[in-house]
Parts: sequence; C-alpha cells; structure tokens
Amino acid sequence: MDKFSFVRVATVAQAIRLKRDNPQAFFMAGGTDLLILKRNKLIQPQSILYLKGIPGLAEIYPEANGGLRIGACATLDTVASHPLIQQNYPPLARAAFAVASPQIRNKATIGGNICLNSRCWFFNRSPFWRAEYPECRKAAGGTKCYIIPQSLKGCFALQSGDTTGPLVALEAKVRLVSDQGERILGVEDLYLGDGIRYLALKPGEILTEVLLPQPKGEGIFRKFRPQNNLDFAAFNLTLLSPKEGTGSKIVVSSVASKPLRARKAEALLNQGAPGKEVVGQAMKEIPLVSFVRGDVEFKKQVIAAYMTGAIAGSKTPLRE
Amino acid sequence: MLKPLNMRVNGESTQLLVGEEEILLEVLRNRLMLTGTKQGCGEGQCGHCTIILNGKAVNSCLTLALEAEGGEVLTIEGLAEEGRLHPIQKAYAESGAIQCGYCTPGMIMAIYSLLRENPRPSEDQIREGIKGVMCRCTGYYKVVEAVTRVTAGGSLHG
Amino acid sequence: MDSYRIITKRVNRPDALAKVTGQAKFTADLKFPGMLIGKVLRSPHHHARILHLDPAAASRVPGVKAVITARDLPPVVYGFGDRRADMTVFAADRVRFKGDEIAAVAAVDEDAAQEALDRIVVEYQDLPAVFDPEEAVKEGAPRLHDDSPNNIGVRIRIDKGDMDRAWAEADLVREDRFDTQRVHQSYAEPYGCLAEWDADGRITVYTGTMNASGLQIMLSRVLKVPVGRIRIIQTHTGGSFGSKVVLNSIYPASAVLSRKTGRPVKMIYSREEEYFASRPRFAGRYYVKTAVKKDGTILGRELNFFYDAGAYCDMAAAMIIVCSHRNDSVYRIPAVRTDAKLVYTNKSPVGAYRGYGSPQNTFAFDSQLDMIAEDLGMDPAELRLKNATRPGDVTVHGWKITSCGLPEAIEHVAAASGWKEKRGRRRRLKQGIGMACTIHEVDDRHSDGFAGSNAQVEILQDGQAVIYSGEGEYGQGRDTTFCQIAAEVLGIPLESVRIILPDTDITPYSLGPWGSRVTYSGGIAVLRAAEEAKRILLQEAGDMLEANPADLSIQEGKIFIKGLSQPKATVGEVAHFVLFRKEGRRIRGSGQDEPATTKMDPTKQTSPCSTYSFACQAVEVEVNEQTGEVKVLKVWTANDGGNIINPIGAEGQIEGQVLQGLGFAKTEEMVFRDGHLLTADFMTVGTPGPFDAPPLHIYFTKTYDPTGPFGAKGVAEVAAPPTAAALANAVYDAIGVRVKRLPLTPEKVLAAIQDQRKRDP
Repeated sequence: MDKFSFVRVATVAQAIRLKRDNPQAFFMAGGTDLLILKRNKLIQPQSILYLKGIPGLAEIYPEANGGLRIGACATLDTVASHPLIQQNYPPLARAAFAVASPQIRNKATIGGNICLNSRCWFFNRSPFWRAEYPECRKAAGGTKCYIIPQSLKGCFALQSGDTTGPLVALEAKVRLVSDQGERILGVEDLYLGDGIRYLALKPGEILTEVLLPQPKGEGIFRKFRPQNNLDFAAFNLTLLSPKEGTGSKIVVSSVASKPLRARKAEALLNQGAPGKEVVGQAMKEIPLVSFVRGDVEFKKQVIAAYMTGAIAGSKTPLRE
Repeated sequence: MLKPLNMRVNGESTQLLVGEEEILLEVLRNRLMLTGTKQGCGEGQCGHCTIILNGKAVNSCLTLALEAEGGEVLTIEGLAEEGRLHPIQKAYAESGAIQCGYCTPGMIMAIYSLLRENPRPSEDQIREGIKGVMCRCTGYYKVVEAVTRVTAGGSLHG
Repeated sequence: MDSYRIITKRVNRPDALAKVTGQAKFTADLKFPGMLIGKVLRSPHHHARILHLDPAAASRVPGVKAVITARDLPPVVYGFGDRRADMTVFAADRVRFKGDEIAAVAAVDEDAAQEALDRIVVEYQDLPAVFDPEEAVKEGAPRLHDDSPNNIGVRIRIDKGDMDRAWAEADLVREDRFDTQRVHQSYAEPYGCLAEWDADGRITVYTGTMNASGLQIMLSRVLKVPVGRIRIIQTHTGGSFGSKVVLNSIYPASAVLSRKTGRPVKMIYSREEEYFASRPRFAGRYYVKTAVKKDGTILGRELNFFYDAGAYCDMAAAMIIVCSHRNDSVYRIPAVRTDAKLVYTNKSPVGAYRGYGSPQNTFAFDSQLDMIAEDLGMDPAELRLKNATRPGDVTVHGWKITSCGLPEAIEHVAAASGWKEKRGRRRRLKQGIGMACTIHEVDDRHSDGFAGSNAQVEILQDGQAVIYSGEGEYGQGRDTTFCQIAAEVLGIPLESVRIILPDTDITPYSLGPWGSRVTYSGGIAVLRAAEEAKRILLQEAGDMLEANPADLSIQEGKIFIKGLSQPKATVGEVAHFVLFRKEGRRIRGSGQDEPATTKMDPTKQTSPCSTYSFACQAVEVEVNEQTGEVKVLKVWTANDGGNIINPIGAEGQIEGQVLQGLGFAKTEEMVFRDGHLLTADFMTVGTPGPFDAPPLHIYFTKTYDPTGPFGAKGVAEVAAPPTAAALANAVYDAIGVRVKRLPLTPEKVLAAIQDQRKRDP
C-alpha cells in the first residue's frame, strides 16, 4: 500500500510524461471499471494518473463544420442528457443513457466507455472465483480459454462499452495524444478484435476527444439485457438509415472483441432491399461466440429479430 | 503514503490524512463515523453506498477518497437540518417504503439527486432514477409512491 | 367488525425515523474500541481431503492478532437444532464444497486479514465431486458423508389414502418432470456479526439474525459454553427472507477469535461470499404423477422428489419435513405417495427462502394442474376452484383447515383479472394469463416441547409502554404489528408504544420465524401480555381512584370511569403512583402462546399448525416469439392472511414477494458449470430491478381467524410461491408452449418454442 500513489494530473502533457516515466501507472477518469479491476487484482497499478482535473477535457462544443467535439472526460450522464447529442446523435445519447445506473453514469466517462477493458465471465471476477480457472489467457497470461476451450490461441473477451456501437455507426473519430504527437483515428479502427490487445493505442497514448461528424439523421439504438436492469449488454444494435438511401449503418456490438459492422448488409439496405434479405446477410457477416448465457443460435435469432424490427421501424420517420 | 484530504462533508470542513488507495466509502464510515452510508456489494451494483459528490449521486465504493479533494460530499446524515427531516425523508417514512431499511439511505440519496435534476419525474423516470439502488424487500412499489408523494407535495423545500 | 383504533389502520413503522436518517445501526456499523476485523479462509475445491494445514505464516503478518482452525474449537458435529448432525464449524480433514470454512483470522484491518488468509498453507488432495442429485444417489457416485451411502441425508416416504385405488379409478393420469433452480435471497445486508468473549467467560454476539433464541442455543452447543453465558443481541437487520436463522460459522469463529485476542471481533461477509457460502434456496427436481377423474376431481398424486441440499444438511433437514408434504393441502387430494430425498452434492448448503420449498413445489404442481386442465378440456381456474381446500376440510395429512380464504381468493383473482374474457382467447396477440394457488403453514410445530412465543409488556412511569418479544424484526414489520396490538389492547396511542430488538438477556425465549408465525404466535403472546398489563394497571387504578376496575376503561392513554365523561387520570399517573408508592411495583404483563398442535410428521396424521394461510395469483404476459422475451403485463394477487393488522406492511410484503417470485420465475439463477458457481453478484445472478415490477393488484380476503390476534394470520410467504407457476401457465396460454424448467429466460422460452415447432411443424 505504501508504494501506491494517486496523482491529480494538471495537463495532458503531464499525464503523458508521467505515464512514460511510470509504465505501471494507469490513467483514470471515472474509475468505475478500473477500481473494480484493481479490487479483483486483475490490474496492479503502482499509481493512478487522475485525469478529471485537466481543464477542457470534459467539454462538449460544436465544430465549425457542423460536427461535435466531446471531451474524453465528459461523463456518460452529460453525454446522455446533452441537448445537441440528443438532438443530432440520438443513438449515442441513448447508448450513454443505457449504461448501468445514474450513479455510474455520473462518474463514468465516454473516454472510459470507449476504452473499456474487454470483459468475460472468466475475467471480471475475484481471485477466489478465478482460482478454479488459473490458466486464463487474459487474467493470468495462461494458455487456456475457458469460453472457447477448443481454441489454441486468442482471447474472446468482449468489447462491452455501450457507446461503441453508435460511435462506429456515426463514423466518429478519436484524438489520441502521445509524446510523439497527436493522431486522429476512426473509432472503428481503434479496436483490434482481440480480447487481450483490444485497443490500437500506442504505449502512453491518451484519448482526449471524440469527434463526431455532421449529424447523419435518424438512428435506432437497442440494448438487450434481459437478466438485470443494470447489466452490460447481451448485445447492442445500432441502426442508421439516412433517408437519402446511402450511408446506412448496421452495427452489432458487445458480442465480440470489437463492434461489428455488417457492411454487405448495409449496402443492401442502401439499395432498398427487403428487410429479410438485409438481416439474413447481416447475420452471415457477424461472427458470434457462445457465452455462458446465450449460445450462438439464440443470439442469432434474437439479434435478427431486433434488426428486423429496427429496419421496419426505420422505414417510417420514427424517433426513438 | 498518507496524503491530506480536504473536503466539505455535510457542510462541514474536514481535513484528514488518507491512504492514496483508500476508498471514500471507507473513509466516510470508518474515519468520519458516518455509518449511514452502507456497503452492500463493493462493486457499484447495489447503490447502498450512494452519496452526493459535487452535486451528483455516485457510488462511494467506486470512488477513491482523494477524488473528493476540494469537493462537497453529502451523505444521508446531512439531509436533515437541525433535526428537521428533509421532505424526501419525511415522505419516505410515511409511504411504507421502508422495510429492512438497509437500502434506505442509498435510495433517499438517489431520490434526492433525481429530484434535483428533475423535480417532476414521470413514473418511468423515477424508476430510472432509483434503479441504481437494489431493494429486495419492497419490490420498489412504495419507493416509487414515496417519490410521487414528494413531488405532489409541491415544494422540496417545505 | 372494524371498530378498531389502531389495528387495521395505515400506520408508519416505529423505526422509520431511525432508518431514514441513517441512524439505525446494522452489524457492520458497530465499532467498539480495540475491535478487530475477522475473515474466513474458504476452500477453493469442491471436494478434497485436507492433508496439511499450517497457519503459522499467517500469524506473522503485521497486524494479525489471531489465527484459528478446527483445532481451536471443540470437535462438535452439529446440525440445525436437533436435526441431522453432519457439519463442523471448520472443516478438519475434508472440505465438501467450494467455500467450505477452514480457518479464520483476526487482524487490525481488512487488508491485513486478507493477507493473512493468503499466507495460510493448505495442502489438498482432490476428491471426485458430484453436483447433480440424481447422479449423486447412483451406485458409485462420490460419497460426501461416510454414513450416507447414496448421499441421501434424509429420506421421507409418505403413503396416505389409497393411491392404488386412485390409479384404478383414474380417467387420466399425467406424469411430468419439473426442475427448479438454485436462487439466492439476495438480501441487502450481508451476513455479519460482532463477538466479544470477555474475561469472565461471557460471550456477546451482535448480529442480524431472525432467530436470537435459537442461535444462543446452537452457539452454546458448538462452543460447549453454557447457554447462560451467551448473549445474542439482534441489531437492525437488512433483510433475510429465511436465511439468517442458521448457525453461520462466523458466529463461533468470531467468538473464539475474540477469546484469543481479548478484543471484539467483527466479521462481515463480502457480497461474493454470500453466493458461495450462505444458505440459498434449494434446487428441486420433481417427478409428479397425478390421477384425476374426467370431471376434474383429483384422486391422488405420486411424487418422486430430489431436494438438492448441497454439502451439509443444516436447515434442509428441517425444511424437507415441511416441504415434502405441505403443498398436498392446497387442493383436496385424497391420496398421496411421496418419496422425498434430501441429497448431498458438492455445493454450498442451502437454507430457507420465503416459502420454504413452496415456490418450487407450486411450480411443479400448479404447472401440471394446468396441463391436466387442458387434457380434460377444463378451465384451469374452474379446476382449481373445484378442488380447492375449503374451511372445515381435513386434508390428506390430517390437517384441520379452519379459516380459509382460498375459494374467495380464486374467485376474486378470476374476476379482477378478467380471466374469462382473456384465458384461451388471445393467442393471436401472444398474450396469456395463468394462475396458481398456494397454502402456507402458520405456526408449525417441530417439537413436543415449547413451540410458541413469549412476550412481556411493561407500562412505564410516564404511560409509555415497552414490548419485550424474542421474535425478530428484519424488515417484515414485526415492530409495527406488535406495537399496534399492544396499543389497541392498552388503549394508548401508538406513539406511546415501543419495542426493542431481541436480546437474549432481556427478551423472553421465542421460537423464531418458522411458517409465518411471528404475527400470529408472537402477536398472541403480545396481546396476552398487554391484556395482563392492562388488568394490573386497572386493578391498581381502581385502588388509586377508589373505583371498581370493571368500571374503568382506557382511551387515548386516559382512564375513564363508567358514567363520567371526563378522564380521572392518565395511564402515566397510575403507573407512576404504583411504582413509587410503598411496596411499589412495576406494571408488567406476561403473555404466552403455546399452540395446541401436534408435532409435524409427514408420515403420520398430524395437526401441526395453528392455522393456514392461502393465496391465489394470476400473471398476465405477452410473449415475443422471435426473442423468447416474456413481458409481464400485470399480476393479480388475492391473499388470505386473516384480518390484516398492518395494511401498509402487508401490502409491502406482497409487493416484495411478487417481485421475488418474478425473479424466481424469469431471471434469477445461480448458474453452475461443472459445479463451479459462475454467478456471484447481484447482476449476473439476475436480481430484479424497478423496471421488472409490473402493475400489481393486491387483495386481502375477508377472512377472520378467531384464533389469531385480532383475527390475523400470516402473509409473509403466500405471494412468492405462486408466481412462477402462474407465469409458466400464462406463457402456455399465450403461445401454447410449456416450459418445465425455471427460470423462463428468453433462451429457454425460445428453445421451447423451437422444440415445439420441430414436434408440430
């Protein structure tokens, strides 16, 4: 306990520098996931670099080109209730609103939700629970996977931040800052599709902003979590279908190590193909994994049903 | 290492030395002896540890004490003024919304936060506002009634 | 009937202010000087021999003040009460479930305690484990207890009436299997205790228990300390629903740690420990075979029942006595043949959870009853009404039914829900309605000795009254109800009455929360105690006022003489006078309820309960056949609790029960994979939230039980049992698909739909 330090960082540059000098340091904004991971000894930070004091990192302001900038430290509550986001990017507002509880949303940030550590039944548990599963690749650097036992390598932990689906659908970008400078990356490119190396962040890189392009029009967001009002999603579905007949987006998230876009299905939707055809194509494109609750067949069926309903609903000008 | 923590708790200036990984819930309960705020799960699922930090309801079990530096903390003990119950406490006590009472402080703080942001919530908005607090005794029915009783009463400051 | 001042009125809880201000102290809130924190070391293995256990390194951790193992306690093997003894406080040579207690430490803080646990060296030899009860009883299965060859801890065989004749006369015989899952009470406050073993050998344990008197005795037995040296003080208790009646290992562990350190020791469960090592609801497997006539008369029922008890019997040995036969008395069933097996498996032991087996039983029996109704072409509500137990019945087990609101409950639910218009008519909309009924024991007797309640009521020198009862308050409303009873009897304002939480040094011996008996039996004792206090008071008032006590009455705390409109004195003035005069005395009345019942024995004809409560429930659903989602549109309940003393409390009890019932029906499950518990938190275990609470209709039947306090019975456990069956029956009504395993998750419903389509394309 003596070695641990909590540092209230003043600037992004200071945060980067401290992280470079202390590789065992963790960035923290809301901490609603990090503190649980720490409690469960899944991460062992030597210090916490607390970002919420950095001026400007939580601001939301429109851009000249009609887009919107959201500071990474904006809380999910702010994102959910911001008039511009509710009005212009409703799936994102809904997704932020769908996270957990007001108490979590008041603290958790959009940056944290985007960078959320990937989740698995066999990872997010206490040491006592995990003693039964000592060879987990993600939790223990071991050689097994207890979700897909037949796999020889890889990790299937899920990218479960609710905002990721809408952000991918909206073609949002993120600003990443490191001591080598800044870069802009599409949110979709941020996810590597692996449960262990799940983010394309360079060492010491901080996500500082989310950049939304011009509003794309109507959109639908659905979160399926039948077990419990607060839980992570069994799946999320984001559907954008701008009226002009192009730019459809179909994103299924929280079912894989990255959000999944059904690109061929999107093309069909753009062409005005019947919903059944679009959904059939989408379900072919989306690789699903059987988890403890919800084997592949079940998930396929339910996602398809939700997608069918969403597409039908989107044909009439329908606000969520 | 111990670090100084300056904050206002229930309107009072407080200075403590805290461990850098100490959790705010523990500081409130064990150092400041404010045991009204409870621990039900320690992982942000039950909301029995709900307090108001800088105007927002949060799970104090998922808050490092040092996060409250320079901030304002309101716990259940800070609601009544000189023995006079806050209208939420009064309505709650009169609505049958209490059975075992363990979630009551967290629930009242969640309701406090809800009504600050939305003084006239719909029933669904009430449910959303309280869903972060796990109640096993009441089925939430009389909790929702309690909130309706407060809002029907007109003023939160009566 | 309703000329009451306080009984049947809507009043607030006496502890409301303490609870809304955060002042009410639960066990974890207590802090004593020098207090240490204790933690338990638990087995990570399902079944293993302990080859080597060395706590030495743990003792050397800075801040650790004591480490104890089985060696530090007397080698007592105990059970629950006088039931089958098969457990020890700490495992000495064998662990039988993941979570089994092996050792405990006391340290200055939780971190040091955890580090100490991590340093205890244990060497195990893994043993084969078994997790399914039907596997466990097979030849060659791993044996958990040497004296239970087929892992059957308790077996109850019942044969009543003429079952062979029932088969012979049957027009229809249905045979079905039903499975219910393990769920947890998920109460808000984790198990905890604070123990002090002081220098003169007195042990005081502060804890949130439902059963202070019983705990005192069990602790005495396990520590081999005289009962009189043990004091159990109940703190405010954050829910229990049946769980917190057992001797949890943390009670003796914290006591022994306190003796070793000379300091108070507090031990509080983590939420995860709750799921691994408290006392959840047993999973039941039911093979039910029922014979009926074509007019719907039930002729008999045969049951092959597996009660998955986990690794030790504990409370289960008492529970199976009740739940192996209680639900045979909901409907008129002239013959029953039951083989009930309490089976050991390598999981944590189970315990009581609201209904005491009734939710599981009702799911099986009332699901099948609907299937029978369909086979016969009968309406399920009519079938139930036809067979419903009625006042005056003597059931197949000899139970004498006196007050019974079941027919009224069924009729009310059918009328209020629009049953006739809805049932079988809205399949097009995928909407359906289903029904189920239940019975619950009030005040069941399990011994030939004392099986009742004791209470005292004292009138203090200022006219306030205090109630002393050993029955507990854990949210269910005992405090309110008892204060109402005392205030009603004494004629004083409700605000003038208070009640203390059980403290075995102060409150009299009482039996605890078995079979919803607290309002009934505890209430009778309080009523009699209040009556005696009143008699003494009026006697003394008569002396003081020079009047005939028979001419005196008490209203609003004032004493009136017949014929005079102005009060002559206040209750306080009399009490003050009596206390401080020469040879003064306290005004204290004692009351007792000793039920005129016979000991419960499923194999005999008995009269084990003072009376019985009943309920009927209907659930209306809408099913999404593409996703398996079941939306609950509304629930109607009709509950026979006799005369309802505390309507706000009773409503609250029904409301809480229905949501727990829906959780059991739809979302909750302790999920095991290869015996390992995967769901160990509120979320993954599927705990319902405010959005799961549907519109709810609550009705209390107009029953009055003349033997109960002011006609009351119990309602705490009648509204949780029927929900799952009613929901499953409603799903069948909506989409013609029968699910016989709980919970009805979207996955299960969808799989059932798909199976059905394969069978009837």
